Amino acid sequence: MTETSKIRNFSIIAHIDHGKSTLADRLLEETKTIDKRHMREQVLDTMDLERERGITIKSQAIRMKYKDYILNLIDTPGHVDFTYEVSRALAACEGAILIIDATQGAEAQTLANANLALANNLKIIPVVNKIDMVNAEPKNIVEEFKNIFGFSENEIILASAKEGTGIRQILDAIVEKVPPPSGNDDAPLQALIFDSKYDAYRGVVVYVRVFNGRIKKGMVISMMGTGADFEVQEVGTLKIDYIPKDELSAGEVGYVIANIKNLQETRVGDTITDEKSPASKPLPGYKPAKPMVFCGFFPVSAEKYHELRDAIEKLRLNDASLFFEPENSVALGLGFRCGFLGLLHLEIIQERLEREYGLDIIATAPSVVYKVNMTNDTSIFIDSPTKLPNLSEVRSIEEPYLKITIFVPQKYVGGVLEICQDKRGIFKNMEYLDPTRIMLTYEMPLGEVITEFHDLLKSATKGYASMDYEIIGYRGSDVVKVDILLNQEPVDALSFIVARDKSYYKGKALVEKLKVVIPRHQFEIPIQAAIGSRVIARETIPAMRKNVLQKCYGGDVTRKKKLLEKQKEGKKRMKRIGRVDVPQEAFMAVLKIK
Amino acid sequence: MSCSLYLHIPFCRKKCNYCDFPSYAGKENLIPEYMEALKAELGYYSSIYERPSITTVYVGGGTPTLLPEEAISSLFGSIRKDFDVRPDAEITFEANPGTVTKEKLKALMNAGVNRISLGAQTFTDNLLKKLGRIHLEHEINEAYEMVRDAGFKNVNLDLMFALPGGNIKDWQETLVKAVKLNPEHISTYNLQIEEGTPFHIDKLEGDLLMPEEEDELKMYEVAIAFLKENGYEHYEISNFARKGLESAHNKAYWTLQDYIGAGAGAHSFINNSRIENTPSLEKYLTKDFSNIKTEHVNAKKETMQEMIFLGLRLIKGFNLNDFTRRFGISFREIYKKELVELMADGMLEMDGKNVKLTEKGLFLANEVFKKFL
Repeated sequence: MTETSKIRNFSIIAHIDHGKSTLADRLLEETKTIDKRHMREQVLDTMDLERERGITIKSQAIRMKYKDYILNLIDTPGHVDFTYEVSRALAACEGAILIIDATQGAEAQTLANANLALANNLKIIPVVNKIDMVNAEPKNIVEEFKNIFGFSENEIILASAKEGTGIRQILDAIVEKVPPPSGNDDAPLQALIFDSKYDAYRGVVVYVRVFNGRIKKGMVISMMGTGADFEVQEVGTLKIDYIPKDELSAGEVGYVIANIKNLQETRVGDTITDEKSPASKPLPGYKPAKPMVFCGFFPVSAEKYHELRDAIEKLRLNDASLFFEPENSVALGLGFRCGFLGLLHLEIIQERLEREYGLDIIATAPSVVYKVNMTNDTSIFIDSPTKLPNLSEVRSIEEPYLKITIFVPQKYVGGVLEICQDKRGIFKNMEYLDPTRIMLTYEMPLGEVITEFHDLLKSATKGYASMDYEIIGYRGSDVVKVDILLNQEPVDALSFIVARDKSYYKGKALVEKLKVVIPRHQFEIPIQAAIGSRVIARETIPAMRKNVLQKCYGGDVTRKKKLLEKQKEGKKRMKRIGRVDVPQEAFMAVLKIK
Repeated sequence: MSCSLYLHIPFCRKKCNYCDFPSYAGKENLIPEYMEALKAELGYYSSIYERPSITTVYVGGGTPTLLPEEAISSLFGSIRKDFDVRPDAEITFEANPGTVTKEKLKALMNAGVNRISLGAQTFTDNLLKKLGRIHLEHEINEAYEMVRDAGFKNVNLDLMFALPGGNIKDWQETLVKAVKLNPEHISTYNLQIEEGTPFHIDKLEGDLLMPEEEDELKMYEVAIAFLKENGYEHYEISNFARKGLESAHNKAYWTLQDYIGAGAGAHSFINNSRIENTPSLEKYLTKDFSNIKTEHVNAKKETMQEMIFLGLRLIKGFNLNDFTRRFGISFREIYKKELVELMADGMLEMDGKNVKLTEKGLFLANEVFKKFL
């Protein structure tokens, strides 16, 4: 048992790419938590995808020893899609290291994460990172810390995680400034679940922060939210591996294994208590992550439906924010409607299904959840254009709006204003962060942001803009559903909902795009866009008239055959709708329209 | 055993920008050693199959006309020693217009070569340069004249269309000029950009101006119409010949006859086995013939598929009785569904005892072939 006065629980928060994972690596090294020989870069990013994309997706926790203190680092994701994961990690801490990149300055997520930390009453330790870089401007960053967040100069630590500068100073600051956890070992058990993981051998592993009481092997625990009971098989602390211990007491961070079969029974944010002497009330949890972006996943070949279901279920074991339910598309057959925190989350899941499970899937264009107010005074929520009821029964449609915050260098502000305007943004505020950088605030439909908004923003600002957003609620909008007809047949999976004044243009652009993406067949294929029964755009894919292998390759018959087989294989990866083979690209084409 | 014989000469003065055949530039110093290995391989096959009887010989490349006269004479000496070359055998030698000399042609004539395949490709100088050929238009004409002067009565011209930067007009000019020379045989290949070639890189970088698909189609149509008008029979997808002068060697491939392929990267088809020699010169020069070959024994189904997609390349198609005789089962029986579907789509037709592509099917041949894979 560790005395709570010797425990410090903290997170590192930063905008993406500001050096969070590298700093975590240095802390692990400096505290000898991980042998230098075993150090590989970014220890905490365990998924291949995380290391490849340079982002953290899941939160992780690790225990370090420094002097005679126990430091629990709870790592947080740095992408706007995963703000929710950040908030739950912060709820388990008393302090946070806030990093700003000395070459970039404060960014939109720096501010968003700092606000989250303040809302959780965390002690913030400001760190200016990457001071070794030639283009570092630590002085300006110190000024920003002072101006934006109100820190005093002597609190701010200058560091280079890459070179190991300032690391001890950071560790000392954690010990000195982050308050030890308060709590009572003898009070009824209250432990907050801040993450959970599915382990193929041990079932669900729950990551907890104990606030009061103790949790030990053999006791029966109760989930205050779901009401499920489990017998504890093992508790312990987290290094890179699980380190079993007799118990976890108030203030500690660790894991619990209790023969839990499925993640649904252990909601992240729920409070664990003792079944025999339960706490009177749960800890303040947080709202469960709500999927904001939906799309359909369909197997290219129908017989893979069950494999796809198994794969999604397995991913969901580790990702409570992933939502799915069966979906039956007229065009694509049986598949799943899946909900995600954002577009990056969607892409990651899609990539994992293809890479880790070897599935060929068709993903349909993402959609937000619309609120449809019916003429009979009821309202329904629809997460797919195909679920939009007959318009005669619809009184009005509402769509989710965001408050979006954009940090941008002054010289690019014109381009950003233009994009926001075009994306139906409502201007709210413009503020100078310093003489050269501006913070813009807009309200904007989520549906506009999930398409190529982020890419547009980056290209209009040479990558210098950053953004963050939060959902602010539903608002009425004038939107219509555009249907796509392929070879005279409507293809439900290609329908999309769009602002009425953009519908003509988008419909036209989409059929033009589809004409390029769908390969020629032996017959002509008309493609039409229609609103109701009114056709608003039409293109025709001409019939293929030539596909003949001319070259002789000498006597190399095998090669000729391979070429034919390759052509045939390419076709197999496409989805056959009626008589038309449609490639995956077609279903995402609506996103690519400027 | 009776079969055809292919010999591969994998040397070039310069590699063309579209070429992905096993062929090497700047390694001419290895020619003597290579010829020894090649002769050793002929000996290897001769002993396995007990001096087979040879119906056609084809020496291709690379650039076989890079070989010195002595090497040519000595090679044919070995061929005749190790094989029973039939007196009426068609013996073809590929020639690059940039490397043809009177002396070499004389050596070929003396060696018994009776057919020359001249790699003209196009008669437009700037396209020849673009392709990376080592000759210009006037050298084609000069080489052709030398070939005729040397006494060759059977000459093929290889032509290519759908070239980057090319158009229908220059293709028509090439056809006119080719026909004017009056060769016995003309091959027309639609250029494909193959992976790993300089053209492929250009294409990826967007530096290659390729003709539109519609134009490629038109070029092919123009070739068929023009060559027919001028007395050439269209007898295979890419080949045209004066009556009775079709390439016997290539017909052996399309009708699934056995052939021995010798040399680096050469392919053989013997007793339903497909054998591929290593394309690596270094490995080939080890002469360790049992280790440089990969063999695939065709399943019956595979040989059937090959008979179909090779046989249908011939304009007259393949003979249903031949199919039944070879496989002991009728084509119409096993591919009933495909046959009905393709005939209904107007892609295949029956002509007496043969199945063949229709005119529409000819242009979409791959679509037809795929149905049988």
